[in-house]
Amino acid sequence: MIRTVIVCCLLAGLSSLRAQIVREDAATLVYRQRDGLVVTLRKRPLRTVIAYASLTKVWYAAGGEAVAVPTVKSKAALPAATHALPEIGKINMINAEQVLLQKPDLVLLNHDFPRHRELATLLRGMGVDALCCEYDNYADYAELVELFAKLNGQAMPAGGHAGADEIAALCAKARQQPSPRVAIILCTSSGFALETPVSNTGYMARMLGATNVVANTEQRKVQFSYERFLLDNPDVIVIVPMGDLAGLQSKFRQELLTQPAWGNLAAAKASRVHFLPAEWFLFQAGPDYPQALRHLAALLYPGVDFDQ
Amino acid sequence: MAFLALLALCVLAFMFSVRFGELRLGLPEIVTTLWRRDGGLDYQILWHIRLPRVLLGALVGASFAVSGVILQGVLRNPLASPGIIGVSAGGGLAGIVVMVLLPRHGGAMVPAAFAGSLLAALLVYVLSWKRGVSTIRLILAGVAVSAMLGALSSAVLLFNAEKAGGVLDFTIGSLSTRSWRHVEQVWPYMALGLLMAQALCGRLNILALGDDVAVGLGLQVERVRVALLATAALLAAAAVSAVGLLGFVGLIAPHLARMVIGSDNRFLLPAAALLGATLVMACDSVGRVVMPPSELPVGIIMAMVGPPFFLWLLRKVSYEA
Amino acid sequence: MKLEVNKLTGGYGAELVLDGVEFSVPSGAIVSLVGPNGCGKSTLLKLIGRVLRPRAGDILLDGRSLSAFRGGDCARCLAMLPQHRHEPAGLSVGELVAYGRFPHRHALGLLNDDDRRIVDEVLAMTRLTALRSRHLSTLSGGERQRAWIAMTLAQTPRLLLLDEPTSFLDICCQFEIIELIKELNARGGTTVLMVLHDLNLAAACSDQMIMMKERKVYCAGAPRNVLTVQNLRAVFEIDARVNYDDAGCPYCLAMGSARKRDHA
Repeated sequence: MIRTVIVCCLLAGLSSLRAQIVREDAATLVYRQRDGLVVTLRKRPLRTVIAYASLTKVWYAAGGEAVAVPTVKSKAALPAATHALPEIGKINMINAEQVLLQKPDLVLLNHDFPRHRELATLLRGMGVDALCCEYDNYADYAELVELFAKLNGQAMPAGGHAGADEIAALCAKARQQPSPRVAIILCTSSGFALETPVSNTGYMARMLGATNVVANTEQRKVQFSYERFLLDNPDVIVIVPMGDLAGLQSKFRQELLTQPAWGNLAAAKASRVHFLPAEWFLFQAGPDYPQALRHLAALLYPGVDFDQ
Repeated sequence: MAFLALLALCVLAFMFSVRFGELRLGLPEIVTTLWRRDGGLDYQILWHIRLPRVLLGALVGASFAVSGVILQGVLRNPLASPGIIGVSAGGGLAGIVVMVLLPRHGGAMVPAAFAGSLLAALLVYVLSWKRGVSTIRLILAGVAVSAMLGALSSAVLLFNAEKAGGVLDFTIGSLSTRSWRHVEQVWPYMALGLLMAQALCGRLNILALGDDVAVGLGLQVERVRVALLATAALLAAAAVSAVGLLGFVGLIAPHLARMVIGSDNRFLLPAAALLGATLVMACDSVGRVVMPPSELPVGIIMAMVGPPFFLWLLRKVSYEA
Repeated sequence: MKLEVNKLTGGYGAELVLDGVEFSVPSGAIVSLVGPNGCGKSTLLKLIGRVLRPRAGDILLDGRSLSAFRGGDCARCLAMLPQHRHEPAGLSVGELVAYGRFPHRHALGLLNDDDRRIVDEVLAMTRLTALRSRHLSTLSGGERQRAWIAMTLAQTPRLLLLDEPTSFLDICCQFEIIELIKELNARGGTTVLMVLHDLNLAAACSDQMIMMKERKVYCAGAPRNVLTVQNLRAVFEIDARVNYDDAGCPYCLAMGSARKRDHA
């Protein structure tokens, strides 16, 4: 129980303008999206089309089912049950006709893409429920799981979604330790950026009690300045790779590791520079959040035994 | 005559565009479904998704093409296109600002881009005024303003990098998720612009001979020039607000039409309009069927297919610009 | 049409190119405007052709001030062939000449039978009937010049202004153009005011010559009174010999420059 409270406090403290359920009854749910738009959704949809790949695992974890999914590069990102489903196009090239051909009563989209927002307007005009979700970090995940469970008419367990207990215990233990200073570098083929406390990895680090060298909470990532980085001198450096891992590791080595001042960094001296697995830290871990948090905790607090 | 051939081509492109998509129906069935208005799934898709998109594509293509003809005549430069008077940059900035900074107000995209386009064109005109407007000053002011507004757009995207990926549709030109609402918002301006253009095309012929000659023939050069530029800006602004920064149509549709019809603007204008409409509808259809189930933006197809086709045509037909 | 210019002052922006120019052209005369580079000949023509607006002074056409004319009315009786022209691609001779009827066309802009007749006549007069459907870009220099002059003729003007109609043409074409102008003047009584560089050509074909120097009219009158050794030295700074042909028309032979040299 206390662990749930802790998690809730974490969530409440770490978020600003939150989306919320405005009204709920047996058949419908009125929900305010984070951008302020209030939408009415009918519960227990029979034919759900998902337009943003990451939402699929969340939907299924909350007891839902889909009839169509977006086209993705690697099928591992989608739950096994959806591998044979028809596809509606790549996430940024969704085909409106294909969506409608599935005769959906609910379509789940992503709030960040203008095409998704336009499609939502189009669908609502044709009587199809459409929800534009924001799914950037764990806080969003917890909220979406709860929302999706309610939409599917499922009851949530008292402690929160599956794994919430485990996460609460992990975070509580981690917070007992002295807080390390962490820098989260997003490594892409075109350059580096620093992730903030509201990004996926950044949020996880904050849940675990680490202090991010970046204080900005307006955006999910900020420009990387090597000079600033040296001055900040974090205790731990974790790297989130976006793209081909081998290529990015070589790029990282060439451009940062070989810099003259790199050896002066505390993290470099203590060999606390780690690449993170993309499937948990670049993309949303979804139901795997407990494992992802455990992985990160081990890197932030080496020597602490989290298995209890 | 060549004109009828172009009209036939346009109608063909229209039919092709309506025929192809994810919903597989033959043309006769499409016609009967639309006629019956039964409200079933097929009708919903055809009426709400396919038809407004094809129609908007035709209108946008015609508008860009006619705008290009006017600008190439007024500026006496074969490289002139609607972007040169700052319309694309202004509309682009306004659209990006709305999409990235004000996502809640998605409905304001079209009016914002329209206003942005017109304001940018006005800025270009005002900056190039010095006891009258010379074509070279107009071109230079247009280039400068476009560069400045383009840089501002890049800055907005830089400071909101995580949302930058989604604006590609707009910056390259896309007709996806276009509905009757979009058509309603822009068709009056396009219709007005096209009518004004046709009414002024005789005067455009005279203006194309040079300012001095035009005065000698009794044309009120400054007034006519302002009217023509305003018409071109209106058409381009309406088109940009509907489809985004679709390039290339405004540049090559006039040249293609000139190869077929000649330089007399009275015939060139309608010919270019038909060709522009055909081009956009054709490219949009290709974008919808070439990589199922994904839907490529029309701008990508235009950029990939347009230039090679144009270059091939340039070699085949003897043409002096 | 009679042309009078009174104390005309004008130029481009702040710069003054003409200062108090005064002369008159009698109706039906051919008058040549000569002078060294930069004396303001083209500017004068542009001021009369309404391309530029005068700073001060007045221009009268048949006693009526130029500023009192409306644009379209003026173009029906005054035609100008400027130096700077643009030829759109694919423009044919017939189309160009037809543009000359623009000031006469009514709102809808279609050519009527009268217009077509005039275009045919003009094409015949300039001997371009066979080249009617040829594109301008495929014509020789002389033919192109004739085509542009034909356009101005299609306006059926009573005053024709020509800015260097014979420059860049070979000697044969030059005479062709001049003869065309003379024929036009003889037939219809069109007043012609043209800027010419070639002094002998000007003397040979004009009823009057106007010589300009440094923003003002230096002298005006019959060619034999204007083309004199003293005038040539004063205005053009050349030493020249002036002879007269059998008809009494003067022609000059330049012997050398009379410009003062800086001695080292």
